[in-house]
Amino acid sequence: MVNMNKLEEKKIELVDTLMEHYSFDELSKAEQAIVLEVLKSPSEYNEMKEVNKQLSKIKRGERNVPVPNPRILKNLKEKYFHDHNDATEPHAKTRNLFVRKLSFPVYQMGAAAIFLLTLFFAFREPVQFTDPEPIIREVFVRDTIKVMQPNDTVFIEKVIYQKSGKPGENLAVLNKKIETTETGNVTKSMEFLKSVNKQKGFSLKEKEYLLSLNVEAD
Amino acid sequence: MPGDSQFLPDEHLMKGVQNGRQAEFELLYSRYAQRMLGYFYRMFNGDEEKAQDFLQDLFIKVLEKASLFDTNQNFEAWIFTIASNMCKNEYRKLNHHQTFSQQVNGQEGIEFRMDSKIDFENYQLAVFQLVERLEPDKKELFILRFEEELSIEEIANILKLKEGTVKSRLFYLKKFLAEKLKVYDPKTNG
Repeated sequence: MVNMNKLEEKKIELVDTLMEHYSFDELSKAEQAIVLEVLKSPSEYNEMKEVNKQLSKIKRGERNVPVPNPRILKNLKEKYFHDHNDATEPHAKTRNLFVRKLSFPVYQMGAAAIFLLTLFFAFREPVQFTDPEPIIREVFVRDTIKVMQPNDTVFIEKVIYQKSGKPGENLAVLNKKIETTETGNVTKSMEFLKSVNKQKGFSLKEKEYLLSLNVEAD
Repeated sequence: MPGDSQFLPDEHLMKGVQNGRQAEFELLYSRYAQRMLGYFYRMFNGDEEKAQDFLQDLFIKVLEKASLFDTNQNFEAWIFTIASNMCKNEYRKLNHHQTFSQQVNGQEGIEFRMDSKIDFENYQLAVFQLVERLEPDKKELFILRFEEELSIEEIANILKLKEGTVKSRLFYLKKFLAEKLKVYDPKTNG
């Protein structure tokens, strides 16, 4: 099978070569016989010969082909050559440092890095190890503020009395009378009532205390 | 150096690329970008966007595989081998085979008179249109041989085939084209 293929290939090669130079009629009888082993008819041979001739006229660039997008080269340069703008300069190689042997620019770069580090440490302000200032943090206690209804009024009810020590005498009573609104929540008015032992009255201390409670002392 | 390198062979420029030199790469790019774009453009039937993408990928491969290139070998064959493999992978992905075969096999032969330059241009156009619808391997063979004008040896190298096989495939390709595009010859046809 391999030999058959080889033979076939040889015949094809021969026919192809003959086709480049001669028409079927110009071939010898032996050549024509070989051609007819490969092709069906003399006309097929001549047609192929013509195709051969026409195809040989086709030149590269005959077909309209777009031009390469300029961004392609730009992207490639940025990705693979961004370290050096002009690689034609000597010692411009900086890529693949770990693959290649270390080249001269690497030593230069290393020396420059050491020099810069030395400068940095030499002119740096010394670190002071004094006691650090205490950090004062203000602590704010945040109250919880409950916002009440705007119309609400809060009253503190206190009963203030004074013992006279004498039987039959009324106690000095300070009281408030609370009247509620229809809703029952809001006090509309307050009236202080008091029944005071007129004769005795209040001491100054008691009066101050009563005043602090916003109660009028007679 | 940049002035001199214009005359250097591709393989020598690749040595520069292997050493990370931009100037040599740019020169190689200028030599091959248009050509390789044309190759992809024809292989993908005029899909420009895809051709441009493949062109970029191709040169990325050239840069990334530069160290694998043997500078004693032919660069042209090497770059076409990479491009050819990229196309094969793409066609495998798209599975275009059947569509192309069916389209071409169903087509009747067209006859051309070859009396003028315009006739040849029409004939050539018909050849290109026919080639566009060929199976990818036949199309590639046509492009490499008749448009890129590569030698049988180079094509064999690119397609990883024996030279004899390439010759025989080219022969049958021409036979096929001759069946589809008949040239009217007053001498033979009367």
